[in-house]
Amino acid sequence: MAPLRFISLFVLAGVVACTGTESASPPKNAGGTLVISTPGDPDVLIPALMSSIQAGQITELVYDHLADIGDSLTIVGDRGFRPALADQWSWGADSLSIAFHIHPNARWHDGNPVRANDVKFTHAAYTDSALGSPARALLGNIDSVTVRDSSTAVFWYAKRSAQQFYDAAYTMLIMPEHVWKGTPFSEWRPSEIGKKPVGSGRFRFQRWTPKTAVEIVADTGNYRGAPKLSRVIWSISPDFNTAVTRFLSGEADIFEALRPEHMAEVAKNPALRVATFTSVDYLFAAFNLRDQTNKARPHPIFGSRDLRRALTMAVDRAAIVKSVYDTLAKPALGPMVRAFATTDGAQAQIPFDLAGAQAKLDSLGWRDGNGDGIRERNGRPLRFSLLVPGSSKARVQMAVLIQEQLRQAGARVEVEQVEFPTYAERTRKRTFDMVMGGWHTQASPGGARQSWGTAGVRAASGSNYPSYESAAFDASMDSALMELDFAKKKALFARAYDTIIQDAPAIWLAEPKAAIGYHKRLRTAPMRADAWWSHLADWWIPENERIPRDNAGPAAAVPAARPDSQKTP
Amino acid sequence: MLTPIRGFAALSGAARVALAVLAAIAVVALFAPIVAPYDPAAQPDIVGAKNLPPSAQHPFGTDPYSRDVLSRVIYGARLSLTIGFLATMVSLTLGVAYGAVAGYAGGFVDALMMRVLDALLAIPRLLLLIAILAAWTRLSVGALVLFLGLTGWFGLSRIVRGQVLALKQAEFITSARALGASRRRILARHLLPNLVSPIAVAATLGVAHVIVLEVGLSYLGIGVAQPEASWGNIIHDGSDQVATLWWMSLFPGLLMVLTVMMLNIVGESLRDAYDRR
Amino acid sequence: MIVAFVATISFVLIHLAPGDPFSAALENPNVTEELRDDLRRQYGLDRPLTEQFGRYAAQLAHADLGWSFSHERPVRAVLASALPNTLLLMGVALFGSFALGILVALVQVARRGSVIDRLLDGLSLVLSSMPDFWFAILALLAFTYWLPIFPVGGAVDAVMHDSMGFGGRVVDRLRHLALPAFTLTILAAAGVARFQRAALIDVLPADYIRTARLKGLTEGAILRRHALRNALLPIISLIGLAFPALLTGAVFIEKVFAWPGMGLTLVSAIGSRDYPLVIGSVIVGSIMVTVGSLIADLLYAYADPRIRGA
Repeated sequence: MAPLRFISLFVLAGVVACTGTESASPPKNAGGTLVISTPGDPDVLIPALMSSIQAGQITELVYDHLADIGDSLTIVGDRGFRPALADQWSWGADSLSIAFHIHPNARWHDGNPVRANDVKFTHAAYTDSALGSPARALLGNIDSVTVRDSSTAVFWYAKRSAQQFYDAAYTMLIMPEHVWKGTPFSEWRPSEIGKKPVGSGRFRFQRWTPKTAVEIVADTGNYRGAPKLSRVIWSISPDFNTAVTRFLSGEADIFEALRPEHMAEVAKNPALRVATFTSVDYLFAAFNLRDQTNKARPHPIFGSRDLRRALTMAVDRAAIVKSVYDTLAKPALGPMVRAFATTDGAQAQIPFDLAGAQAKLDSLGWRDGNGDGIRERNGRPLRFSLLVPGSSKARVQMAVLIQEQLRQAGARVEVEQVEFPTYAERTRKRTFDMVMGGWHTQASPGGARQSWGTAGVRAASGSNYPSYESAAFDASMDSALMELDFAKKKALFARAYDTIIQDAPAIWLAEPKAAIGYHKRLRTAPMRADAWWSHLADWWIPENERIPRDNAGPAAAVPAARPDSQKTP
Repeated sequence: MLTPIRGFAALSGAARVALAVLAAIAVVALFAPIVAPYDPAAQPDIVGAKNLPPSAQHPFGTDPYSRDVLSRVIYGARLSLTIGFLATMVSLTLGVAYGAVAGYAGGFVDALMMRVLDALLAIPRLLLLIAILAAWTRLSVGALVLFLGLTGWFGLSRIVRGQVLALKQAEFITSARALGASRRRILARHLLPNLVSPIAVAATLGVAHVIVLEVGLSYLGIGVAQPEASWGNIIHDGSDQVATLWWMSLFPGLLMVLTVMMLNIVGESLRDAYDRR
Repeated sequence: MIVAFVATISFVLIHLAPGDPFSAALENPNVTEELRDDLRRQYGLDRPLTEQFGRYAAQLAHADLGWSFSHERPVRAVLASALPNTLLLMGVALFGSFALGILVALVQVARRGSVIDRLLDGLSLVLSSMPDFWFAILALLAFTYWLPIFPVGGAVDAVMHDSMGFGGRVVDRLRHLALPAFTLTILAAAGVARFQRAALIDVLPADYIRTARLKGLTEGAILRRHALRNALLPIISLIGLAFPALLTGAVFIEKVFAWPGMGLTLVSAIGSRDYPLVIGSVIVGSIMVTVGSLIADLLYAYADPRIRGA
């Protein structure tokens, strides 16, 4: 679901994810309106600050990267990338710098040409501490950006890495200096400028009616060519169900998070299609390994590895995934996804064995003394809470299923369903017993180091929320990442994964697929696994299949008026 | 003056039927563990038995967790009715206490208390409840009852106050006082009996109101928590797929409408009887 | 005065709650603690509560309701765009329900004891016992799903509205308004009908009615000319009571139909811990209710000849 996905600024290595449709040549007349039904408003439309899926989609169409990820989806080195804002680039002799040359015809939507200064400015913004960009930590390897001449920007690196090019070319969306420079970084977020993005992309921003719609229109004079659609609109619903219904009833053309229960609906409707493909998400129920009240001590219940393993054994993960997702997800294997070439689909798991779990709990001293169905040990009942964000139907369902399965094993689980902001806050503060977590992971398996490595435990901004610390895991991951030989790499990853799986800091649950519903009149371009919208500018609608709203034409641009002004009917 | 017995006699025929229906529902709810065919929290087959439409084995179908909806509705009756009842008790107590104190004290204290009451009345009950409940994430049923009760006493206290004021002026009070009767005696002999009727009406309609509120709050997701069953959260569980899982909205909804209707009939009948005398 | 009280209560309640507005945009673990503290400082959330409240009270005096974090706009602006939608809905429902309710009551009383009376009585009983959202869900299913006559939600068609002509836009708004208004109206009408029927029945035996009958007026004329006017008085006070009920109903209905009014705003504001917006909504809601009952009181005083001294 949109609000809980992390923005994917990264790409898979080595996965093909295409679902194009039949190729008839597009008509001379571009046109048509694409309506995307979504349950959330974008948070901000400023590339350096955004963190919601909608904002990511909109900004990626209105702004440009220096280079785009190619269809082979390789992010190592620079071979897999295609030119975007930068039409060519060259490496320094020592590979510690890359010079990007800006396309001579690149223009901002207000007419000014794109300059190297814009690149330098963008980097300054992304790394500024007052601005606080979520992507700041990802740019750590870039020492500085300098301007060689008005159309060449040079990135200087601290050290060589497989992702050097990616860091510079794809992590940032280039923003116009002349628009932003009058505003101090700390005032960007609430600023009026931020609500009317000026980019260089193939679409230009048209309007944003809060909680209702965002509209972008084709930039017909764009240096990379005009899009084949005239406009794209995000139709915003207050909740998930309304958003799906809008798609099913024909008020919108696309919905990107179809659930199994909608498949029958879609199948019945001859005008709708579904594209499913592997994605980069994995969900789990994590244990808090530390005591909530005193972070220096282990959790009174979950500090024990054996107990965690026993609880894991009591949960029938395969059945849960089948029940909640039907065929739209596979059981998760660990802190990785099958999309990685280095993942072994047969990675050993802790088996499901209720009787074994019960025996193990008995042997650990957890017994039900008073016949209430809940085990106790030394006076402490096996009772804890499971934190879930209410915005994710799948997680809520899995939580209720786990609750019952653990009840069979003699544990009492309280499902605490909270709104997403509270969930995020409590996860960050580590005030939970168990939490239904999930990651929309990076392209590289290295993402697991951030989420499960020791460094992520101590730092306040670290994202190892369960506080799992294992030197063995860290070491195996590090060697795996540095290894160049593929077979050895894979073996090292397998070893790292085995360590963490057997330590059971979380019950690995599901690896959901992406299921995107779309109207049949749309002719789609290949949909990239991590960002199906990346080629939206190349989607088109045959003239003879257009419907009334395709021909409606863009709404009047919102005048730069007072913030309170509303459109009059 | 309407004693409980005379009150019953004063009920219309329809109201008596309604009372009987309510009693039946209450009995079923009370004996839930015996009456319900399955354990309401059991999830026997989460892959194969989820979302089944009504059938012989599951007259009300199953939910997305393969739980039997009929059993959940029965247990839900128990919980929803209990919450309604207890919350109303809280409201009644508070309402009578507040109103009696205000009416008896009179003067400045009375005026002040009424101002506060006005302000409290100005906030729609639901908004107040949403604000309170959404803030606390892990709400026990007891706390839910408390908050529901805390927000429902305003109207009754007005009526009670009115009664007390009227009583204060009444002649027989002054004469009783002159005769030396203690305050408490006056309260017991004269005030309380006069309150029975409005309290009975308030209680009946109050329970109905609380049930509707609790169902509404559970539907919004801030009422009763899993795996407990209440009519509201059964509807909530099925609210994603209202069309395909229609049995999850229909049955609890019907039962709820039935219960509330019966309560309304009884309450209105009592009110008519009270007004008529 | 009432406003002040309401504001205080809301402020206290919301600040008792766990959670913090700056959890809201946190989907990314890379947002640092320092940054969040910075934002908190910016918005003044790190000051002691009393100071926050003092500042808030001062702002209120200038009708400045603060800044809404989740909408990135001033609270006043958010409510200003949401309020008209709710007022529209409530207004239509108010008129509709009273008109329909009174009409039904008249019919019932005119044919008192007949089958129609009993049918309508039963119907109004069922409807007034029904929870708003359940009826709304049924209506939604029936008229947008099984019989796709009306649009699924919202106030206007997000995509097409601006490109329609004036007439088209009016129609668009009406189509979107139809179901939510219908739902709210019918349920409220049931309550009004029951109330009015009882009021009319009370009035009918009155002396002046008997006099009118003796004078030879037809039953219908009696109803219309005398009974109704006198039975209207309690109706007017009902208007005052109707406001909170309609507002409550509007919350659920706005949620089911995604109608962008105050109810929906409040529900989502609480989810995002947007304190200023929550307090703002509750205050505005309470003001609406108070104004409503004030108007009702005034109307009552005007309409009641006894009070007017006529």
